[in-house]
Amino acid sequence: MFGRLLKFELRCLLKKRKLLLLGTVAVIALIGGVVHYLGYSTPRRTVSEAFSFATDLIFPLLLPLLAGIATGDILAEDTESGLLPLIFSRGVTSLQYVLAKVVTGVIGQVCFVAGVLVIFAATLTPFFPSGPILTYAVDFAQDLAINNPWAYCLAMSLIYSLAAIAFASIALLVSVWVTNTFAVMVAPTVIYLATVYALGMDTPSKISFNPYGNLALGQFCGLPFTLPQIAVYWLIVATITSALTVLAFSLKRKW
Amino acid sequence: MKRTVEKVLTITRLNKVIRRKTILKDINLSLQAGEIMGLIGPNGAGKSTLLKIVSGTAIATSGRVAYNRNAGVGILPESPALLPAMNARQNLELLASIRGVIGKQEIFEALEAVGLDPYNKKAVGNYSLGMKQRLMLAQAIMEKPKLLLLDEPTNGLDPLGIIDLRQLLFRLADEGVGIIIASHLLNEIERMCHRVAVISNGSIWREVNLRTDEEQSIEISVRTAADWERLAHWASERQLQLTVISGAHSFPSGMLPGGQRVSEIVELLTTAGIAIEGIRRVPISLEAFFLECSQLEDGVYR
Repeated sequence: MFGRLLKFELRCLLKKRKLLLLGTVAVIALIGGVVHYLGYSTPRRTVSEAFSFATDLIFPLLLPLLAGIATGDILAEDTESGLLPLIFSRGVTSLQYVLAKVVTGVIGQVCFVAGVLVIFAATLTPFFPSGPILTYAVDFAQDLAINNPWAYCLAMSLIYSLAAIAFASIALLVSVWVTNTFAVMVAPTVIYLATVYALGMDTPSKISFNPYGNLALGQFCGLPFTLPQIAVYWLIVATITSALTVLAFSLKRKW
Repeated sequence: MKRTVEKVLTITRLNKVIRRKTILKDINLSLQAGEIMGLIGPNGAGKSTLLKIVSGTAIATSGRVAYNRNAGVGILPESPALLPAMNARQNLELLASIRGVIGKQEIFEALEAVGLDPYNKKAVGNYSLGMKQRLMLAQAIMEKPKLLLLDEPTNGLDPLGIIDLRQLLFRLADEGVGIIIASHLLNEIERMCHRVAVISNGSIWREVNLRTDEEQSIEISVRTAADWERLAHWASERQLQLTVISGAHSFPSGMLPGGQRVSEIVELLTTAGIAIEGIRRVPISLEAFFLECSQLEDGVYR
């Protein structure tokens, strides 16, 4: 039953035209980031550096919203549209249902982020030569950016995918209690910006580093992170929020 | 047709409490195969909650709901829930993929049964409310469940649609499907249902069998005042309550309780020399039941 339900959820996700629209918006925004990159000086402009600059500039701000809109509402929209009773009447348990939603969210976010970044990279390729990332790479992976720029881009893409999964999981967790799809979609952005603001406040305990860096999405991070640590950081956020979503939804007594 | 007595649904001592407020209280209900049961009651009485618990979208605080889960349950929610960008066939194929027990043939049959064209490529988002309701009915019946739960099934249907729905439900009942209909349209409930449960304040206030003589009173009118006197005497001898329902300007008439055959009464009264002007069985008025259960209490509706 779970396999069929997962297939059903993925088919529903694929039927959504908004993913295409959202992907187009993301690619255009990233191209805007490349235009911005052209205004900055660098010893050598390369496709991987343009990719790194643009994603670093755009994704820390846009990713929570993109993730929330892409798959964050998959739980809330069933409740709002009334599809949920039709699914439950076919013998699906609440646990099977919410697990299918979480897995669909993960697959959807990975495919969406990967799709956007692959199209973006393919768009850049004709306009820039290949080569190392000399200037615009995150502090904690400068060596990798210089020596193996595509491995660096791939690693950053993985981190963005994990962050997107975490943001979508936050939206899913919110949608256990909130049925308004708009509120659910913007919830990750609101929570993210609130956290960024809180971390950036001038308090006695403030640690002087960039709040974007603290959320491990920016290039000016002041802490001695490594790429695997950041990947694990987002993985933990995604796992905890997903587990809470499954637990909270399964324990509900009325859906 | 011989009706089976197999029970398709048994609800035993069901209670639902939300934040210390009792929504359903000690509900006991059963439904036989081939039976159509109406569920009526004022807004907020607990009808939808009861249907949600049976269909699995709500969990009871205590009590038991038993039905054959392998045979499935078909539900028709109060408002249509469909994927608007897809056509009717695609919607049903997608929903059918969850259980995977039926193929395209059954989907075509279900669409035809509710009067929709299986080859119509129009997106469901462009359907009229009536067409959406027909499609919702198709999704409810396509997997041939033994239990159907319909919440306001006539919503958005035109008179022809309502007639089609009635005929379809009768056919399904003949095939052994147990059907529960929650509706505010009492005349439709009277026409469609074999039995009606009236819910008030979360409890089953009364169950009425609409297809039995027991519940249907007999209205009788006689020619003269002398005939009326003889009729009253005849009724008191048999300990039957005769209720007066007409005044001096028409034929004297009254109401006898149900449970007797009209032909027998005619024969008995004729033998007793009472001139009958008219006699008829009076159908049960669900409106009267409904008004009684939702009557004002301290100035507000219960």
